[in-house]
Amino acid sequence: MAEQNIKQSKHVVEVEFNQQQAVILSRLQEDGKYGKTDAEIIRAALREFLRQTRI
Amino acid sequence: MASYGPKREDITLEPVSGKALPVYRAEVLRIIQVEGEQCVDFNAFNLRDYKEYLGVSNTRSYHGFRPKKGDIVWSVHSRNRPMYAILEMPETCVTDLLGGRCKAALHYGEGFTPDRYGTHTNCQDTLAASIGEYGLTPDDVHDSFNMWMNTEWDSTGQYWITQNTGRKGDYVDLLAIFDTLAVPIVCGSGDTGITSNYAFKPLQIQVFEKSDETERLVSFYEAKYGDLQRRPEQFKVNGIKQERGLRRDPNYVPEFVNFPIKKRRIPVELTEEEYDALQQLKECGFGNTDGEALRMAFFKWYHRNHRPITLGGRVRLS
Repeated sequence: MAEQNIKQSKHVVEVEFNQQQAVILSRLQEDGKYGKTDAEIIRAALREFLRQTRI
Repeated sequence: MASYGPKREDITLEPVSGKALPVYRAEVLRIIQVEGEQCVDFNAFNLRDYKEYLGVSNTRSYHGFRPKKGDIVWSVHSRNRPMYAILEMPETCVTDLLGGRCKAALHYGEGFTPDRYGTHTNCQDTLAASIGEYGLTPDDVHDSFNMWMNTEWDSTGQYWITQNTGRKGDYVDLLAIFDTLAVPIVCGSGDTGITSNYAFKPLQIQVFEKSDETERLVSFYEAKYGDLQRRPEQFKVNGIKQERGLRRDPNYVPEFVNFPIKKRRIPVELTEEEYDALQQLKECGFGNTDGEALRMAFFKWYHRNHRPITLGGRVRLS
């Protein structure tokens, strides 16, 4: 499913994280629920946020 | 209600006075309204190191504007330790963390100037007179944790004082988490102000020795909170200055935490649909750029779903 979505991707957004924010990504990465890479985790978070806020 | 040890101190504070008294680890300080409707200003210090004292803004950051039964009174941000647990506090005891403390100048407009009608009673001076017993000075007086002080505020940032709701016999019990010097005083502005309903009244102060139960409660807090803040000895400059004037050390190089902050760019691929939603977020104020909006959405999601609960904490009474 994640692979399929990436195939449909049309936009690349560059987001800046500092070293402390990156720790949060690393911890979520250890969790394993949201993806293997930083980009996958950020994208999963966006999708989940949009779903929760119904935007 | 928790059971305490024997009462070892029982004094009355006549208007307008105060008292600095040690309240040791696991002991309970009780402040009683003798007649009711009397505002209490409260200062407190670590009995072993006066540079650690009650942190009004730190307590506010954990518990909001009105700490209540079950909340913790914290020491200053620089030490960040639970100082007292509020074991008992009636709803008629409205607490205040906004007013700081009253001082003589508040009454200048009423004519109470040194050259006219003299100094009006005020908490800054009463606290200073009280802590002098332990060698502390007026500069060591800090913002008060105010009890039975009914402040209100509005969305514009204004605040004001309204009628005192304290009743005769009301009492507050504070459990000391470490050895403290407690300084309860009768607020000095409540005769010409509404703070104490235009009349000073006495307060009764008691201290109860520790019991097995209070010891257990303190152990709970110690285990729960441990060391939350870097200690002064972990900083490069940690000795207490003796000289009062401030002079620059030209050779000083500060050691800031994680300095400099380093950033890296993470490319994130989004579908058309996701990208459109991101544009909507930008319109809602999530940031000026796509990256800012994406970071904002990420952290809003994170805070909502993953961020550990802050250390507010409530007392778990048996």
